[in-house]
Amino acid sequence: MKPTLVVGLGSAYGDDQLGWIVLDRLADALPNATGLALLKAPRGGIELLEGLESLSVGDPWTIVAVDAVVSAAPPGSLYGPEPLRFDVASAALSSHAVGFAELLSVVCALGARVEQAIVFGVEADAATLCDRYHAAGLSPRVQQAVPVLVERIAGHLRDGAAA
Amino acid sequence: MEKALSMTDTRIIRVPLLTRVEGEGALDLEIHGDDITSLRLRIFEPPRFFEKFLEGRHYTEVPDLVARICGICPVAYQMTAVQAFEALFQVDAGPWVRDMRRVFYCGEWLQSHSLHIHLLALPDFLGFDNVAAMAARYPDEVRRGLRLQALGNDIIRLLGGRSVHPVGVLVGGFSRAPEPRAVDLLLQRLLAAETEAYALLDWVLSLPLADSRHTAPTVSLTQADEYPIYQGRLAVSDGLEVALEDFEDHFIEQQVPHSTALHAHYRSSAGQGDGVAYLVGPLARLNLNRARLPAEVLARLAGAGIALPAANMFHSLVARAVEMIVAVSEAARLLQDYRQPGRPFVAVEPVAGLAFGCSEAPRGTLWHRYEVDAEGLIRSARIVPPTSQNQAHIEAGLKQSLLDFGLDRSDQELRRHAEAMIRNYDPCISCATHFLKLNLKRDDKP
Repeated sequence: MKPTLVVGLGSAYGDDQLGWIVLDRLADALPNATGLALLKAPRGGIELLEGLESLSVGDPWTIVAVDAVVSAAPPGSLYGPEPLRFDVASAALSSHAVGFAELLSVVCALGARVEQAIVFGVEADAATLCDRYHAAGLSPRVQQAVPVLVERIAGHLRDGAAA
Repeated sequence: MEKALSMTDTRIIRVPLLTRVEGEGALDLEIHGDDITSLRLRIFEPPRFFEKFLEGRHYTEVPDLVARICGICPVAYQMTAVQAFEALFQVDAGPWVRDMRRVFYCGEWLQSHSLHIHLLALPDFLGFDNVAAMAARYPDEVRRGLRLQALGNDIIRLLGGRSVHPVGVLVGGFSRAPEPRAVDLLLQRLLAAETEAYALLDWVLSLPLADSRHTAPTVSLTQADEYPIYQGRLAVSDGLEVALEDFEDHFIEQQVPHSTALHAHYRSSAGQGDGVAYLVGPLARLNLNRARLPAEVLARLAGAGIALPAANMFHSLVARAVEMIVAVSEAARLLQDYRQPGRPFVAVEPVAGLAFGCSEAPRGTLWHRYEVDAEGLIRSARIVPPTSQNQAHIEAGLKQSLLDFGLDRSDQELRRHAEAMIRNYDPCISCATHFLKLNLKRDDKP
């Protein structure tokens, strides 16, 4: 497949673990994939900056972001593939609320070769999204959605590899 | 307010006081003629109940719990906590642990200061609205900053296993000691980074910095023989030294009507007076510990016309660049003759009493107090972060700064100047107020 970096955004708590759990399952689903890199990002993707050198060489990369989503949808609702615009110049960059799109714009300004960015996600149960005292796992409906999302992402990546 | 802690835990939490973390901010400004009649920085803190959560926990759990207070400076909270318990339990963890904790903390200073300088502050000083545009114009400088930031994260990973909420910090030491080979690789990067850190300072010194002076007491740890990071005596610029157990007699936190963030004031005489706003953070540290700086740093500051103690809040940028040099060189010095110990921790037995700890987080003085019972359980906790201590100084300094800047300017100019001024103090505050809502009421009647 074309160089692809899948970024699992989140933390170690509640449904915010989604991105990291999906990454682990994706590694199992695509054990022989070439050109695929996985990155767990506990700080909203700012870790991308540390991988800048790798993103700046070779063929352009596809960035796939996976994250829990909070909106008005029912918990467990699936999202993606949704294109993510990252040619945005935002003044709202901050160390605690870093926008992923803004981060991508920064790494591209620094020479990273990024062709496209795509987002996948699952609607979290907002009541337990970051429940620090239930770090044991995901809420039931999000847990149920994980294998479906993993297969959706894997299929998307396989289709891209076959293209 | 009563709230069950969790479904499986039967403890009931009563929260009479709000806890303290960063949050969104709004600035309310009232101008009457050519004077500011009202300035209020409103911080909206979501309550996180950390101090209450610690009650009933065993002291061994505290380092991992307090690390969650902040994703940018978890090391500071961990180090202050273990220092407090070891002082109460009369534990001497030995020189290896002391040195490695200083290295650990150097990593946090390096990554936090570099993050602040390059992603938060520099766009202000270079005239950019956003980091991406600045990065396109100054790619080499931003890449250098990211390399230094990554080095700081790797130092934290070396000793803590990971850079966010590191694990392996114990009361008594560390759970594991790094392998010499890993230390040597990091040391080589540190030695190379010293040149880059000085280049960063030179670049910062060449930038046009605004001038905003506000006279107020400054507070920091001090040490006789090194620049304070992990430990020291608590000193005030008026000459007073405050014992850690007397902190609450001299540094008073108060609720103010317009903000959920507590304001702190300093009073030189314990128990007397309302106190004054004071400053903690890199500029305070630099001023109070200038005798501990490398000669080469002092020469560069003098060459740029910066006399210490510095009162210009925009020199906070310089202070952070200086402290990056301190962090790199100190970490290199302490890892130079690294030896893996037989065991990286010492045995600990709890003692009942009050535990006090104080260290210098990247953003300033951090103070902890814990009441511990004979079984090592926490009966009460109080954590005073630098973020809240600077609130009163921010308001006072910001008012003076805006008056000096001139009020006969557009609302957008005033807002930008206010944001840049606030950002001098603290990354947590600056990102809270990065979405600064400026509510400006002008009354031009004399």
